[in-house]
Amino acid sequence: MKTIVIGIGNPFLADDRAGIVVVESLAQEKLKADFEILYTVGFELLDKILGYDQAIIVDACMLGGKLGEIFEVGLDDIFQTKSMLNSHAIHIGTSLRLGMDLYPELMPKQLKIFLIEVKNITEFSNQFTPQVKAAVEKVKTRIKKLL
Amino acid sequence: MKIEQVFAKYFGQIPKNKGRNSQVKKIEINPITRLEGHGKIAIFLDDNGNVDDAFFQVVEFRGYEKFLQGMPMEEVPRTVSTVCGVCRGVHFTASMKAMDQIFGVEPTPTARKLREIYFMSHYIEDHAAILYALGLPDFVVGPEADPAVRNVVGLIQTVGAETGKAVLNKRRLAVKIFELLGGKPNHPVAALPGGWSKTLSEEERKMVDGWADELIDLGKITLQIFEDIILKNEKYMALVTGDMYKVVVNYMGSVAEDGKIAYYDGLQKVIDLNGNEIGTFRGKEYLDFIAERVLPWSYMKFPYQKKLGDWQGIKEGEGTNLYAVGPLPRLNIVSGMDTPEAQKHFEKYHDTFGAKPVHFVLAYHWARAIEMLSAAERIKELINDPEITSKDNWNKPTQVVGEGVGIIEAPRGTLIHHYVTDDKGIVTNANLIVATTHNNGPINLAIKNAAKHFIKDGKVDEAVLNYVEMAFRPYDLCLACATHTVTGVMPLEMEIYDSEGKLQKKMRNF
Repeated sequence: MKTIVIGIGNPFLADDRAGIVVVESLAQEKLKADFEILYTVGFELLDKILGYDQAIIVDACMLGGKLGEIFEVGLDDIFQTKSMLNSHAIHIGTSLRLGMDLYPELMPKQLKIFLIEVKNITEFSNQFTPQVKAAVEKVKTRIKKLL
Repeated sequence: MKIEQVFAKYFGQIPKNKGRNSQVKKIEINPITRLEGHGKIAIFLDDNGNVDDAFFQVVEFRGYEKFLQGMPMEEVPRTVSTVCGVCRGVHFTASMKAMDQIFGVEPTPTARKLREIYFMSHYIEDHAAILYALGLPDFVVGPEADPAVRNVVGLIQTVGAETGKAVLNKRRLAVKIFELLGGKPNHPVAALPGGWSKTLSEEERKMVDGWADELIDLGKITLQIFEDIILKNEKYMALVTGDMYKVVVNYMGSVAEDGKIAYYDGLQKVIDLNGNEIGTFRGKEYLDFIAERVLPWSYMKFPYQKKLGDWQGIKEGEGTNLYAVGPLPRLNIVSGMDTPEAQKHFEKYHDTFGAKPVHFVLAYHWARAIEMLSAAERIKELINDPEITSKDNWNKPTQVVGEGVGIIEAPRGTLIHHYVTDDKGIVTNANLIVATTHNNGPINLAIKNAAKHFIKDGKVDEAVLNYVEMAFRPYDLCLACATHTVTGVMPLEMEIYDSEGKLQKKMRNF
């Protein structure tokens, strides 16, 4: 199964690095997947997943959950129809829904999104909040089981 | 009503010690934090339920200026490309130009042209995203349509999957050029002081040449959609040319030597609201033109043109020293476009509105579409330049000058990156002025004008929320883009207060 694992975040901002660190770490283990880093969840996300059988996306979130909580979701869970869009916030669900509508034959048949509830996204730091650090390791383990 | 009177009327006297994070808690009911990441509009009604005033608050992320201190200048471009996940190319380009000056070098002609192709490809992907995700849905689907469909998905369902695919497939080619020349997938790394590390083979050149034709087609398709959906629709044109979406301020942009449009390089020019030139500047001279005002209720500063006098407040019309940047201001300032097809549309644009400068905010979208075509034509020209496959891609620096100002016309407007380094090229100071900051005053005015028109007798509903959002969406705010949590970075909360200052309604679009 052709798989892509995409980490989304900002590489300089504390907990916002979560998705990126997961992917960069896994990329060094020579697993059977392609790995990409994105700084946004707009059309670029769609560009990257087309043509793969399986897509796994990892990002930080602030959904009001417990710090370090891991949400494992699919497309329908994340797509929200009511959102104000600007090009800087094309919702992840919108990008994926667009793919389903326009490129059904090219969209991955299996799509999983891992979201890590984070706290500190404004500090320039290469340190995670402890709970986020633990969650990063758990997500890595979960993804490896899918590959 | 002046802001001091607003505060006095609704919240009592404000403390004398006002700062950016003033303790005026009532106007920022929930402090805007990056955690929520939403912007806020506060609208105050009079006794009749009509709009008295409106205020727009967002957080501007300024941490990078501090973070960059102590960093080698060569690391800055790839670092600042993370300031914004969408416009990752603009900060990269502006800082790269500043880096040239820090090291006292100019790029080789080939490097300069490669940089411009890269930048133009970014223009197309960015403008296309704004238009199809943001600007066109309001018109194609309708401003009063259900929010569930008033988005890019609804737009594509309306125009049809084949058109939608054609648009996205062509847009993707701009991204391919961006990544090919950027040197790394997704995020650019090819900047050199005095050069550009990625050169083109003849095979790559031919590939990009073919893609350029597709991108010109994308520009034409977009302008045709604009013509068919908006220009031929009287109701929409009434919105486009109506006072509810009109903001009369001064304008700033960049021009080439011949006065035509300039994106990568140019002379910065400021005109007043009647189209008269206020002045021109290059580099560090921006400090002679732009001053910034801190207001107690706003997280973001308000730049103004100090050659027009001291701070006049958030006002429009004669006497204002507020100014706007971006596609509409650029087309107000330039004498024409630098490519033939875009020039035809430029002429049609100005013929339609009659008077220049154009002050209709919704026209930003049309100007954006024209620039998209212009950028594609420019790629076509450059990719067929005889020097474009040359390997002479780097003027290696031999000195550290220690100060540099990189100014470009980012898709959203004039972007200024100003750096100072020590004698080893380590950054000691950085100042970034982004387009949305320039536009802070006009955005507030746009929101107020729209709110005043659409909110009457205290009636506020979902449709009203969208009509007010339409006022600032053309500016395509770029503020809190550095963080990329999946919940998005620019949802909006609108709070309506009655004449007694009591919160009557709160509406969200997230």
